[in-house]
Amino acid sequence: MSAAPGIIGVGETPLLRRPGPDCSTAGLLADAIDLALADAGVSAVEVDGLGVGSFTLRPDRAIDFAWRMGLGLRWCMQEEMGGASAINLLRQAWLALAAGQARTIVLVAGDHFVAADFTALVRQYNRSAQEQLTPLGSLGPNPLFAMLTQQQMRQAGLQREDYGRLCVTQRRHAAGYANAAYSQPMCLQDYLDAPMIAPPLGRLDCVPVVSGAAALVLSATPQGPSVHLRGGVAAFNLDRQESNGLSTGLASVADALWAQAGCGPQAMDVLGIYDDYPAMVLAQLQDLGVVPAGGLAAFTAQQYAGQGVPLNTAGGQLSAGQAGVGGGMHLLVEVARQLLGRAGARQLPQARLGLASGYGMVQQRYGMCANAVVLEGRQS
Amino acid sequence: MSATSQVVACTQCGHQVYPARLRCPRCHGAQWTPVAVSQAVLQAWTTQRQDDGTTAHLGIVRVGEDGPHLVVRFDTPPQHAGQTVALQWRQIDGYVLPWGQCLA
Repeated sequence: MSAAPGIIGVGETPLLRRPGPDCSTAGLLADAIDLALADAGVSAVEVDGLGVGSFTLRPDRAIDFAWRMGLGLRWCMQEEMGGASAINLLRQAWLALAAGQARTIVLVAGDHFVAADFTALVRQYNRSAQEQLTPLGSLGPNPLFAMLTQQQMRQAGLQREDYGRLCVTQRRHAAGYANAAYSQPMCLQDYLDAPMIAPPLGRLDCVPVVSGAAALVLSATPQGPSVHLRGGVAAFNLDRQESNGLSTGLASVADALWAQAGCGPQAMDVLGIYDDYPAMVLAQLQDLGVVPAGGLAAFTAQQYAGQGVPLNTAGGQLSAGQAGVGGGMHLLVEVARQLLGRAGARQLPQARLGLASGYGMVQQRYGMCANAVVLEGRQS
Repeated sequence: MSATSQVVACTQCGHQVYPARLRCPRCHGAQWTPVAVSQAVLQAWTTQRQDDGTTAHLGIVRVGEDGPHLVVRFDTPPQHAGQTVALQWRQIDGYVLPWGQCLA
């Protein structure tokens, strides 16, 4: 038994490109929780804490969902900060467990979308989207990240092929994950030939919108294999949206993360980096010190060759799909799964330390939220 | 005819932002005054298909070396980063929004 809190189970539903008529957000969240509880070997009656991240659960909130799930709770939290929600939930749950506010917490995130839902969400995402971007004809995040990618290409000397190598690598990983929306093989030429969405972004630079959910179970006193938080940081609107967005808030907090973790980025065995667009994966890797300045093209070539520390090993959002707020939880769940030693055919040998990041909440031009955790797997 | 510029300056510290916010991100002042902005510099550009089948030319421009970044619409496509852009403001769906025209 460990005196420190730990993640003891994970679960994720299939990520559905075309969900059936009976599919609902609440149903997906419930299924993910059941999977994670089964993985943890924990009964629902033991759960006394619940954290929920979702855009489409409305009109219900976390507590309404708890009622529908038959859960009586001592700790309940709701998160709506998009790609940063999963790690926000994890950091808060960790504090709650350490403080004795709960003993067994389930964190779940996910969404159910049909195309019209997603279009409405991104066009009315916040006041800036409603009053400046959408009326101007800048619809959703694609054009904003297209322009950010163009600037990164110019600044770092990158070509479309460099981003393509990242996408192809993640698709290769998705082939080993049965829940991924897209797992069929893809080559670099497929990436280059895909239709342009907002130049330089082609269709395969943009995450497929899916319906699904992912969940974690945490215990205040884990017994058996568990995953522990070595360090966690977050940055919210630190630059007031007044930079060019090529660097995320992680650049300001990376030193603190590694100091807390007591190790450096070179010690990581697995990476789960928030991949709403390939350019943002590269930006975060540089901000976190995983890739040195000037090393982005070499990093993508290394990944493409199957070398270096494995990244987004269940396909990431770019291939497995982005289930709304569940996209960030997908990455966190996969890192935890690898560190628990339960990744099946994808299992990395001797994976002990992992890094997961979140990024999101686009304002005028780029995301305002960024966070990251360093996790350690322990077998007892 | 161009509508009034929506770039504003904090009356307390002079910091310029677009669009106006509740408080100045630099000094937390709460009063703004409009700033006439006629030119900016192109940082990046792209295109996006619209619901009516037309293509929108979009760009990010920056006002001065330390001024705000604006997402703007163009009638004709820009050519390269660093181009000088003439700004005007158009009334669209009840909102006053920035339109750019690249100068040679």
